Amino acid sequence: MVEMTETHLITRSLQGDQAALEDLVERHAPAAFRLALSILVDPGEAEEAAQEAWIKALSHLDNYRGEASFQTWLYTITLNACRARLRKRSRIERLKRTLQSILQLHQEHRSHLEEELIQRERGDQVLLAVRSLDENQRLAITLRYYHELPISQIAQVMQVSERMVYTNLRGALQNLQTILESDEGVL
Amino acid sequence: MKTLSHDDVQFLLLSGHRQLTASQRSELDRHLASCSQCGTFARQLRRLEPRLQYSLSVQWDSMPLPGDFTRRVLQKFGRRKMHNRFGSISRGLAWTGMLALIAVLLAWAIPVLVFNQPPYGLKLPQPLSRILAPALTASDMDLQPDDLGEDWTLVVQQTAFIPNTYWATDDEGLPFIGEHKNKSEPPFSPEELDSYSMHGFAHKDREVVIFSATVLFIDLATAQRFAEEAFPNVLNDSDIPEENLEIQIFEVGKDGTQIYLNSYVFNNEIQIASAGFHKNRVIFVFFVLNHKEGPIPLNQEQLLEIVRRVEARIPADN
Repeated sequence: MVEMTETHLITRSLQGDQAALEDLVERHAPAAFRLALSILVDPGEAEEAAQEAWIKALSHLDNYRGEASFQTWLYTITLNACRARLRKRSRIERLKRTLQSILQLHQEHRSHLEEELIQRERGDQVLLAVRSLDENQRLAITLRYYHELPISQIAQVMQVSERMVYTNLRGALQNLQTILESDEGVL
Repeated sequence: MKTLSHDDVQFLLLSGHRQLTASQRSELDRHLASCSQCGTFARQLRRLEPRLQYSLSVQWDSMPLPGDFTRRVLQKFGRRKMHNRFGSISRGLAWTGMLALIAVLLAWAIPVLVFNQPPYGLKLPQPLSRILAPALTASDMDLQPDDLGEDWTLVVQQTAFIPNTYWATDDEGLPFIGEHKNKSEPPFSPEELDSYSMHGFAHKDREVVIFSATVLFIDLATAQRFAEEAFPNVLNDSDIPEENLEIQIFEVGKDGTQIYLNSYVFNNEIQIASAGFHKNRVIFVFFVLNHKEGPIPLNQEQLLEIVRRVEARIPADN
C-alpha cells in the first residue's frame, strides 16, 4: 500500500503535480538529511548535501525505474553527494593542516549544532568508537543500525556486494569491540 | 540441508535472522550451540547492537531537519528546471545557429569545392591567361592589309614563343623585339607572359614593314622589365637624340587610362614604337619602315592614321 502510494506520488510528481512533489520530499527528507548528517557530521554541510541529492533525484526522477525502493535510490544519491563532499573536505583539511602548520594557527570554527554533536559524542563511548572507524565501516554501521537497512539494501546504497557489506560490518564490529573493551574493560 | 559455515552464520547474524525459515533458524541455533567462535560473536552482537542503535538514535534523531528544507529544495529544483529549460533553449538556439552557419558556409563553399567557382559574393581575380588582345588576325591590335591598301601584304603573324621572325621579301632579319640583344625569344616564361602576338606587314614594292605586337604580362613589374629590355631607348629619353624624337600621346580606354604612344624618328629609318602600360599589360605598336634606297620619310598623316586604327581596336574596357 505504501509502495503504491509512493509510486503514485512519483507518477504525479513527474506529471508536474507540485503537491505530490512536496509530499515526496517531506516524506523522505528527514531520513536523507540524517544519512548525510551521520556521514558528514556538520549539519550545514549535511543540509547542502541533502539538498543537492534531492535536486539531483528530482531532476532525474524519470530515470527512477522502481527496481530498488525510492528510499534506497535516494540514499544512493545522497551517499554519493556526501562522499564527494568528504573527498573535497579531505583536500581542504589537508590544505588547512598545511596552512596551520605553516602559520601556527589552531582555529576551529564549528557551528553550535556541530559542537553539540561533538560534545555528545565525547560523552558516548559508542559514538566515539564509531567515529574512529574508517568511512566504509562507519557507513555500514550507520546504515545498518541507525537507518536499519538490510544488508541487501546497504549493498545497493553503497554500490558494493552484500559480501563486502558483511566484511565491513564484521570488521567494524570487531573494531568497536576492541575499542570499547579497552575503554570500558568489559563490553 | 547444506551445513552452515562460520561466515554464513555470522552473515545471518548480522543480517538479522527475522526472515529465516524455521529449518534455517534451527540450523543456525544448532551451529551456534556447537560453535564457540560463532556463539561468542552472537553474544557480542547481542550486546553491541542495542548500544549502537541507542547511541546512534540519540545522536541523530535529535537533529531536526532544518526548517524550510522542503521549500528550499523545491525552490532550487524549480530554478534548476527553469535553468535547464532555458539552457536547453539556449543550447537549441546555439545548435541551430551553428547548423545554420555550417549550412551558409557550405552553400558558400560548395561553388568552390564542387564547381570550381568563386564563393558567393566573391570575385575571382582576373584570370591570368585572359587574352585581352588575341593573337592571329582576330587580334584587336591586328592590322589587316586592307587597312593599309592593296600594296601591303602580311609578312609575319605569329603568337607567343614561336621563335621565328619573318622578313618580308629580302629575308633580312626583322628588327623586332625577338631579336633584341640577339635573343630570338622574348625572355619571358609562360608564367610571366599572358599573351603575345605580333603581326608584320610589308609593302611589296617599297619594302616597308609595319609591324604590330601585343604583349600582355601577368604583372606590371614584368611588363616594365620587358619594356626596359625591349625598348631601352624608349624608356630612356636621354639616349635618343632630341632632334629625332617626336612624342605623341594618345588617350584610350573608357576609364581614361592613358596609353602613351611614343614616336621616334631616326636617321635612316622611321621607327615608331608605341608602348603603354595598363595595369598588368603592356600594349605597344611597333612600326618599322625601311627602304633599300634610303630612308623614306613616312607621311606623318599616314603614321597617325595607322596609330588611330590601332587605337580604335584596343578593347573598350581598357
